[in-house]
Amino acid sequence: MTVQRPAQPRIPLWPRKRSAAETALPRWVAYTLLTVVSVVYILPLIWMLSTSFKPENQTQTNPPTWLPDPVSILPQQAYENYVGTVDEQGRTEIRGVWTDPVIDFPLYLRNTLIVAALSVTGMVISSAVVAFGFARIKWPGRGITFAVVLSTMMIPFPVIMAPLFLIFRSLDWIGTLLPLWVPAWFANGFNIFLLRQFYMSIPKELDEAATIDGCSQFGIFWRIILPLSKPALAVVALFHFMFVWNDFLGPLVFLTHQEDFTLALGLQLYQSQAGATPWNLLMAASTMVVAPVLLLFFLTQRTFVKGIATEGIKG
Amino acid sequence: MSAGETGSPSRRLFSGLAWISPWLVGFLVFLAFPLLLSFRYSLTDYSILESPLPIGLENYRQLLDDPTFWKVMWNTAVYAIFTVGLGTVLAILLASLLNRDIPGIGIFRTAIFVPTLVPLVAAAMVWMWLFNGELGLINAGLRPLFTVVNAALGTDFRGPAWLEEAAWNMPALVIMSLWMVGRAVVIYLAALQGVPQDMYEASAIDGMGRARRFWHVTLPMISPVILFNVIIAIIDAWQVFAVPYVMTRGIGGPEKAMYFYSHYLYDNAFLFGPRMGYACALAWVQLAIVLCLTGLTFWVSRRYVFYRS
Amino acid sequence: MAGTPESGISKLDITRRAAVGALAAAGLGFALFGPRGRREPEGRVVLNYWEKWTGQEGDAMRAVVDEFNAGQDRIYVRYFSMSLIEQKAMISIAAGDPPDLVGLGSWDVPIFAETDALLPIGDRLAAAGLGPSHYAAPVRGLAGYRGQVWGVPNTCSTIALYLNRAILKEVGLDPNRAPRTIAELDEYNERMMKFGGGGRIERAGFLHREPGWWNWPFGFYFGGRLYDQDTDKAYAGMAENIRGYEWVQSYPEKYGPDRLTVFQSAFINMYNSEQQGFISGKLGMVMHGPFLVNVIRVFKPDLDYFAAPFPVEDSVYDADRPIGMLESDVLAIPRGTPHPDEAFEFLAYTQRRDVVERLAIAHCKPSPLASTSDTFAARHPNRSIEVHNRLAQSERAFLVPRTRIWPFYKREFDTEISTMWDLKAPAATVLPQIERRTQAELDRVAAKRAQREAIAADEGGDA
Repeated sequence: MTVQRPAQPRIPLWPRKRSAAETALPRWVAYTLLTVVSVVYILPLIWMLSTSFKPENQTQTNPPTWLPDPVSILPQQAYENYVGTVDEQGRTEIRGVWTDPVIDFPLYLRNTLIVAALSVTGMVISSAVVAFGFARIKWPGRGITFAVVLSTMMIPFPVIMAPLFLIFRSLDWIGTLLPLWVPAWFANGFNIFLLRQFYMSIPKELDEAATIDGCSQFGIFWRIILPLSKPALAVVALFHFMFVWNDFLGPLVFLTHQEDFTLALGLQLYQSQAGATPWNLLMAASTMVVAPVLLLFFLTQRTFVKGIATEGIKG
Repeated sequence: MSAGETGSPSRRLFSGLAWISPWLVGFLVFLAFPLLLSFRYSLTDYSILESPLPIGLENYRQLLDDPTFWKVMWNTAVYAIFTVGLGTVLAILLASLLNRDIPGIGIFRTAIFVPTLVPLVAAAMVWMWLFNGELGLINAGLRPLFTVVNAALGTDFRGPAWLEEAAWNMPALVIMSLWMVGRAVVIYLAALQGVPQDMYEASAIDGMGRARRFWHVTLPMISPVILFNVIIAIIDAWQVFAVPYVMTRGIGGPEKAMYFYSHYLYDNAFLFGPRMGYACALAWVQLAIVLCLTGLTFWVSRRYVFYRS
Repeated sequence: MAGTPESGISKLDITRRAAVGALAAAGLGFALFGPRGRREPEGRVVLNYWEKWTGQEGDAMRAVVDEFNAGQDRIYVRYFSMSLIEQKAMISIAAGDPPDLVGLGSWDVPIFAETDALLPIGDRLAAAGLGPSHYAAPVRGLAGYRGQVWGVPNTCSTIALYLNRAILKEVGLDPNRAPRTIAELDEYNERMMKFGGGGRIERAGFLHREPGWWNWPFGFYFGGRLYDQDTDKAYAGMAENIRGYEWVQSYPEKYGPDRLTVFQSAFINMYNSEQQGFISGKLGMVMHGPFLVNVIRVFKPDLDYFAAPFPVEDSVYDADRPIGMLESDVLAIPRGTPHPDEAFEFLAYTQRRDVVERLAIAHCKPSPLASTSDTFAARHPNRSIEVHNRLAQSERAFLVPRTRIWPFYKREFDTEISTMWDLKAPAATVLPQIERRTQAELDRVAAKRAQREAIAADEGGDA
């Protein structure tokens, strides 16, 4: 993948200035098209939200409706679907997502956050360190090693999941959360690449000045590179958080105890448990899994979009 | 000279290796070793609980006679071709459409990007509900259309049960994958904005029309980005797992129509037997396929991808 | 979007950063101080018990566990409802981190037994007075395999035909008589079918694919079978089975596969719900187990139902020897548990007659034991429990094929049923293919077994 590198285009973010490659459809055509496309893309999520506010029997209406009937039951119904009620003995009275007697979503949320915190921390630290070794230190064999780093990005996880399971088994890690976060402490190809690119854009002169001042390699890394790389580290953290939140196959293979499940796995369990989960509850649970990510996105749009644009242009 | 560029080569080698040691260890333990282990077990019959029984190349030979293997290969290839092909075209079209500076464009860009944030398991739930034959939004939307058509032509078209009728499974999955092209759209958008103004000015002088300009200037200019994203998309499509697994409750759908490579590998490794050895053989074949496809993309690109020097 | 200039930090930026910080802090706080798994009392041996039951069935077993925990102070059992339990259990046993007790199905026994994943407990059971004679004859062997006993059949069920009396009356059929033969079933179905505008199906009499769990037994009602344990042969392609699946195909032929599939999609996989086809009145008859009554009790207590042995082809009809599937749940102790004695103590507790009967009643199932208490029948909530008992006692009751490759065989039916249902290929083509693939897998497994045994014998000889 390193063989040919396209020229690095600038990456303006959601730019305001008129761009050259712009299509030249008349404005009203563009607006109409864009509106239709956007509505199509957003509708599934609105439908998810709408279903999650309905009582079960109203999910069966044909043609479908968008609001519960009457609308005034919405707050109460939303509470029952999302939370549910439990009596003093802890028995379910109204089956809601958060207090479901079998699928312990609060616990799964906690597990997900634990895995996320540990693996995001590990991924940021390890990738930052390794990228420094590739960007700022000239050592024999660096080029070829970096090519190996990049080629690891091409290996699909399913290819190694079975032997990984056997390795984690011999480490006695099956039945714990360790398989999900420990590997994150050993960096990965994509993040090393991303940070290396960023480090290389930091002027070498800064290093040289620091060296003259008697700074060690670690001093340069710690005092110069890291502070200047905060935006790139934020991208790594954010993307890895998204990965953990999303990951389904990893938990499916490595987690055997239901107490250790993550949200993605819990959601699937919620849907597939013997019996059935009504659509309104399923959509409420899905909304709960989606909402935090959307919130995070709206708060960090800038970092997000910049990160993706960089990722795509690495060639 | 900075600290990393001075000192003897062996000294620099030592400190370089020290810095990359986290990756090096991880690479050896969590990637290289599993791959080797996987190859070793692919030459055995291994149920995890019983000790591995060496059987030479039998697993690989059996793959050739295994109808389910060919079925999942076919499904996965069809899925990859359609999602990557249609997805790339759609993403470039959307990116060009979004590449304007008009008020409110940010809202449109956000709308198309947001679906990619939805965790796959949740997305699968939402689309199962949308695709429901009797109560789903998609068929409800199609119903008025069919009513008109049927009245006019005397036909009897109806919205299908997308996930229960085998013939409609693949279209359903491809449609859903098109819903999640937002990431590629953002990348192409950035690439389009990286095309330098002077290229367009030059082409305008040559008197090119808009369509020709898009074909002869814009596309070649962003072709390296397209290449990269096509490779990523192929690798991603080839490992598709979560969505069909969730939608079919781990069964693989009617007539195995939603049974994909990774799912079959998973079933062999953890369900059928388990057949760890066979799963490992499947894994090596998968790896070989992904590498070949990547190589093929590069080979094709040598002819068509334009690199500025 | 992009409301702020690239340079300089605006107020909005600061607010956003504060919000991200707050979100991160909240997340971290939840990770550190959030809910933990249930806590267990100190000083007691804690046993993890994995069970497949959820909902009302899970509650009933949980009540048994609570009682056991309250009744003594050395052992504490923690109950977990698991999905995909056979996979999870197999993986964790293989990983050396097994639960202490696991609730499997009788169909899981062969594979767990052959891989030595469970503790054989025949001797312990005999010593505790829970030998074979404790159990009713038909279920006795269900937890055994190849001469060993690997668990106890703690509940059992047979599959019958459930009918909705109100619908029978509505269409002018005798509300107390069930169809006995396939031809009668077809006639019942025909009368119950109801169509809406555009030929849309609004109600059906019988649907082979509801509840969708049993795609493989239709040949049995025509005198077929799927597997012979002694010869290790698969018989999916035998003539009786082909007749059975030709019957299955006759429904989509009559009513249109897409029409039936769309009709069913409204309630597909909705077992424990008021939307379930039989409960909502969209189906007049359904092939089901006694546990269906639990769902009826919860969602439609006034539903007037009754059950009968599933109809069979005319030529094999025999009122005294009905044909129906018999299956049992199996409570077992995985190999590698650190507490086999304590696990057995709990297992033995669950096999006391009063406990078994309480569970059976809560699950609306028959009792698996040789003798029932006098009040069992009177207390039982399933008004058709006698039918299920009769099916279990029948010499023509059939079991899930007892082979370790059952997951493979079953998957063949689960996916190929749609090939037949969608009329892509006739049963006479599909079933022999299933048989061929399954037989190849059986032969492969048998060859491996033989090789393993040969190696073991060699090693034994050397030593």
